[in-house]
Amino acid sequence: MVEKRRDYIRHPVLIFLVVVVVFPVLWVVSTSFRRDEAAFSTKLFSSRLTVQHYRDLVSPERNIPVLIQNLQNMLWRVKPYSDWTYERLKKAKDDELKRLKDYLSETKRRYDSAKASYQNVVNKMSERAETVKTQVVNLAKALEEKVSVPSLSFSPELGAALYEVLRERGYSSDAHLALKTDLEKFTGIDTSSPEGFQTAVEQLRIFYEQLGGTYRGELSALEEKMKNIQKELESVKRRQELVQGEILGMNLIFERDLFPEFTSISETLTGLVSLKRNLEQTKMAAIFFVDDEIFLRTVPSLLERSKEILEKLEVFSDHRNLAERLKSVVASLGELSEIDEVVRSKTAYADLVKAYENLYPRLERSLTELSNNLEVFESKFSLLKELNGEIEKLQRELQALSRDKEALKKKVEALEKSLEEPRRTLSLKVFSHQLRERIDSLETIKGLRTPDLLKYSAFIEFLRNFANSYRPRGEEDEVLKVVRETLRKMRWIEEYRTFVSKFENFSRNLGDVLGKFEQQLKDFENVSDQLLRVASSGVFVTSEILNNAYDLVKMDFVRRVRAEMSVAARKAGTLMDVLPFSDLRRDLRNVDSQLFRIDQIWKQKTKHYFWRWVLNSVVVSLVVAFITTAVCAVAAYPFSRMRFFGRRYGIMALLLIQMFPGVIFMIAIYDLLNFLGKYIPFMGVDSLGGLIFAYLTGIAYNMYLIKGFYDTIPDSLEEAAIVDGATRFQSFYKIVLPLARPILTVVFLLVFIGTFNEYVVARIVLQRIENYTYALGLNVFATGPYETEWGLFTAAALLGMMPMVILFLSLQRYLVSGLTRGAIKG
Amino acid sequence: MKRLLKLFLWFLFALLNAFFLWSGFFLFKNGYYELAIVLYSLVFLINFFVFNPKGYPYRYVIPALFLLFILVLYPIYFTVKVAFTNYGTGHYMSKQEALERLLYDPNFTYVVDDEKVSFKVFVVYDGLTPTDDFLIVFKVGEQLFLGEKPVPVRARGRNVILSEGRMIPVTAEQVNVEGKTYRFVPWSEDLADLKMIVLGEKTYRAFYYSEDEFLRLNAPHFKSRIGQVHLSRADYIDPLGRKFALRVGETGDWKFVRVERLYRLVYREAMEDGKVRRKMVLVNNLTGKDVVEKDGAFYDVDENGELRFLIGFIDFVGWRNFLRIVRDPRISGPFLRIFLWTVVWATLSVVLSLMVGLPFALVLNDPKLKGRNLYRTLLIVPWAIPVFISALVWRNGLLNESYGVINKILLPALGLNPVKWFNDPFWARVGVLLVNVWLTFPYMMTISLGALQSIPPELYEVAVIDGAGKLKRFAYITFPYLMAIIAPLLVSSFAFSFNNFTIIYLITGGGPPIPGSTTPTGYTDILISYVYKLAFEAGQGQDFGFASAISIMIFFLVGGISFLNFRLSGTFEEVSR
Repeated sequence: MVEKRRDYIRHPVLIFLVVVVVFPVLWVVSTSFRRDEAAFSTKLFSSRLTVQHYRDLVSPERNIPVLIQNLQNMLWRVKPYSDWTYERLKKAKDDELKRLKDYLSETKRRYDSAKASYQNVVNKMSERAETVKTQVVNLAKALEEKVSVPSLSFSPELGAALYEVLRERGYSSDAHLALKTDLEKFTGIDTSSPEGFQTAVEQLRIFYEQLGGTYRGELSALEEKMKNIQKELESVKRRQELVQGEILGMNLIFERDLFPEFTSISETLTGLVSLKRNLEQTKMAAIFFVDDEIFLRTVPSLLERSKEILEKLEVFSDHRNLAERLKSVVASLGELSEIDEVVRSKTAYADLVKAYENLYPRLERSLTELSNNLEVFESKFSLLKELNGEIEKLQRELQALSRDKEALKKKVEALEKSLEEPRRTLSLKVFSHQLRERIDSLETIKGLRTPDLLKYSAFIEFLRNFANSYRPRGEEDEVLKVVRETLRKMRWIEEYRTFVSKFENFSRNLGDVLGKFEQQLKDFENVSDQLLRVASSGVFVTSEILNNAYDLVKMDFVRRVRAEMSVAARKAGTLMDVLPFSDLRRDLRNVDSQLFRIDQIWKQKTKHYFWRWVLNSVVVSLVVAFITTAVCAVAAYPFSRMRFFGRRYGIMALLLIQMFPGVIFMIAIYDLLNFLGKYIPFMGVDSLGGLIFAYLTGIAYNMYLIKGFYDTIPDSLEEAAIVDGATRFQSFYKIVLPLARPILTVVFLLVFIGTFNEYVVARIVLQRIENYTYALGLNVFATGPYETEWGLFTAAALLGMMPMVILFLSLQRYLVSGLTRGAIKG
Repeated sequence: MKRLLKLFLWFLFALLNAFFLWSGFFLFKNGYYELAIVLYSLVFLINFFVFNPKGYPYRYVIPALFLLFILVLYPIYFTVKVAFTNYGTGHYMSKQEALERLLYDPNFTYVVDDEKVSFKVFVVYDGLTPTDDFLIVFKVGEQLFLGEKPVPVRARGRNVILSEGRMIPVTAEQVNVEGKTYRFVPWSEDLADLKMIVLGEKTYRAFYYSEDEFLRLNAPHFKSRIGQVHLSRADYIDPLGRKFALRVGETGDWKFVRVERLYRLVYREAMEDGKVRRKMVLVNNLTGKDVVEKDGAFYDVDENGELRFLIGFIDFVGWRNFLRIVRDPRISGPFLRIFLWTVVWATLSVVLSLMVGLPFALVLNDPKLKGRNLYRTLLIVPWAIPVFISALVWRNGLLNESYGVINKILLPALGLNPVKWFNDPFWARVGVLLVNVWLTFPYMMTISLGALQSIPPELYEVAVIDGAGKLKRFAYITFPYLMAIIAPLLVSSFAFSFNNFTIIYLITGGGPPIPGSTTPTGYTDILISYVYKLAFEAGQGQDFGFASAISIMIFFLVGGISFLNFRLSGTFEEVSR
């Protein structure tokens, strides 16, 4: 291979890729040292560094909240104080009190130091008030120079734009002044007097409206109108839907109720009619007179009614079936109404009359019902018609309006486009005019006190407002870029202002809180001995003073001091980077670090068991590694040296079984541990013993590794020993084992790493947070209230990964050869 | 000296045997029949190895065998067994235990409200603090009874199911109970007047009485230290055989009431195949109806003839757990999804990490490259970091949807929108794959490097002479050689990814959930995490039976892959050498 590679390409690419690959590690390292809350920061790295997270992790400081809680626990005599003697308690209490006082004085000392630095910064800044002023004014002037107002061409659009710009600024005097010449030139009216100005504006308005300035108003009025119509349409539609539903319901009545009813009636009537026809042929004359008064009276009237109803019903073709029936009823009734004396004289006539009289009420009721329903139906029908008509009308209206709207919209867009250029120019003009005035007022600033800072702030605010409201010309607008640049350069003034105001604010409250706290400590000190004595005689005692002090730390301090104090500290950190005076950095750094330390003293921190977790992990891993190595070292020996039944496939079977994932076994092992725990507590669920037991499953693979190594140790050594009288076990113990030390070490460390890194089995077996292994503990740092406390989490992660990574990297030679050994040999 | 040692060893061995035999017996007694059999066969094997000179080689293997039997073979047996049962939420105990609970557990009683019972508790004080040595004096109707601390009569392990105490009628100032004489001071028939009970040197002082305003102050202590601990599962039985037990009334007051067992055991006889068969059934004492046994649970029949669930037990269900995967559409759909994703996940993990690792290996294989050891060491770092730490760092710091570096800094810097790494099925899958590739490409790189170094350089020289270009040399020499060597490793890597539970569990927890499934399933769930959720996350109830059934399927899948792999890699030959 005779080839030249170009290293100047390969190395940069490799370095870039390596950085990408190890980025998560870099992130962990950098985040673990960050002082700000990394989870909420928009920056990847920060220059404010601290080792506080490591201190919190490795040796959590007993700060003020912890001390107060300890004192409370002493009084309540909870563990571990429950069986302490009075003397011991008293001594401990005195210690804690002394510590508290130390913290208090430390807070004061640190605050004084911070205050001195702060004062120093403020003084030095005040001394430089002139410099600051010239700087700002220069910046502003530079800006003013950059803001060039292009010349205006006369056009109707200019007038309209003038009107709009003036109106948007509420016809204010400075806008007026800025645009005065243009206004006068355009209108030809002297606008020095209010009346003149008004007339000019009036004239502009006319211009504006002529050009289509009213379009906007019209458009919005139109939109309003359309909205109203839409609303009306909706309500009509709702009503229509209601009626429509009712009509459908009525249809059902006609079809399912009245139609069958009239079917049966009409059939009966047809029957009666044929009866009547037959009557005419019968011979038997009636002996008695048949009372047919009802029959004779009602048939015609019913006929009349039926005819009327039929007429109405026939209008609706949907009810043709019913109409057919009714028609047949009418026909039958018509025939029945024609009764002559011949018929009346027949005997069977009585039967006809009787049958009719049975039917008659039913017929009458059905007719009434039908006519009622029909009436309702008709009214609903006309209502529906009316509503539908209304809907159509409204829809047509809406369509027409939306056409108008489109047209108007186009016009408005066109107008806006034509006005854009003059408007931009005019607003630039106003801006530059205002800028000039602002610069004048800036130049009157004398010092750098709060009111002065406010003035600067107002100026910055003015620039920002302009930048937000200004419509740039295209993507790369010069003016906007310059304004933004100027804003960026002036940012430090606002940072400084916040810093000053927050510092002043919390300073006021801090003195108050500290004073109260000191008083409370003194009060408690006076009564503490007595309280403690009472408490140690077995009576439950609380101390209101302590409770108040605890509230003060947890509530007052947090609310009144901490919030603003941390902002002040953060701003001090930012100022270090953005302040144009680098000689103040030392003082700012001091303020930042002193305030940070004060916060640490007073902050309530969540309790964790870092060392406990590490210890658990180490103990479990060591024991598991030791047992596994020992068992495997012994068990591998016969596989390497002796011949016996099962040797060939024994390891194979084990290796296969070992391929199955451990989680599957966990159901059984959990069940087993649960059972064991009832009788042997240290081997149960949620105990380290049980966990160790559950971890002892990795036998086969390690046995295989060790056996491979034994195979490379020559038999002759052992044979010599056996010739010298050693037993088989002695030859193993004294010759093979010492020679195999390298592989045993490797196996030990591999099992150690594997166990340390294991998560699932521990998750299943362990429950109480004190029993957690490091793997579970780290998860605690990454969830719940800790989710955004990245400092603690990353510090813990780094502390956990360092030894493992070093161990792994130092073992990588063995690991790699072990991995590829079998493969490459084959 | 040597003989002494030998004697000692034999003694130890005997002790071990005795211990094993006893534990086997103990296991047997507690219903762990299989484990007991495993233990006995182990004892037998061990003794065989020790006493038979031919068994000498096996003696070395004894400790390993012990661990393998208990921790590997027994769990496999257990898993197979459970796969055919309904073991899970609501079905935790054996049928025997369920029966015992129904018959003796205080939960299965009903209150007979025919007599007013008041009681007063007396305790021995240790200085100022009350101990849990107590007596109870009952007044049932007009009759006074003395009750001693109840003693457990039925228990499972250390869990007491039922304890009992006798109620001794008190008619005079002194009462004799099994040789102990209790003296009531001052003697009175009225509970309110009783101040203390003296037994030899011990004095029981009045401690709790609901009618006494002062003694009522001790109610919290009475409830938490005596009531819940000693009386919640206790019956007091009077000479007539009536049972009294402490119950919390509707108003929250604790009182003794007369209770009756809700169920009793009855044998029903029925004709079956012309023979009389006796069958054990439980009868509800209140309704007189038989308790129904169905689908591995006991049910009460209420007035409307409807079944009310009482208690479940572990029951053999045959192939049902396996059939559910095929038949139940709400399980088979998500299951198929999970299965396919598992295969895709394992395949992509291997392929992608090889695609990242191999180029690195090719570059680093050049001996002329300066600092290649440093590069290699740095690139191995992701592999060296404990997986749980990397997973948490990725989940919490990098992928987090609102705070994570990728969403908050990297994507906006590239002008892209934030990605829902945990709530969008597609991106969740991309996320876990990304992390897994990051974790495993160093492994691929390392094995590729090892394999590349074993390719004989002569091959390249010949190829160069024959005029083969770079690509051709890679395609015809490097790649085939490389694959021949690392193929078995890729297969075992596939098997490993197939079951790589930690990554999935720690990063997405399997989520986002698949809607409309009856079992806890998510879009990034692989089979093994599905099993874990079924078995150990009680959100929707545990289902050990179903979990075991799926476990067995994984077992065969991965076992098959591994077996093939051993054939491929020649591990068989090596072992038998």
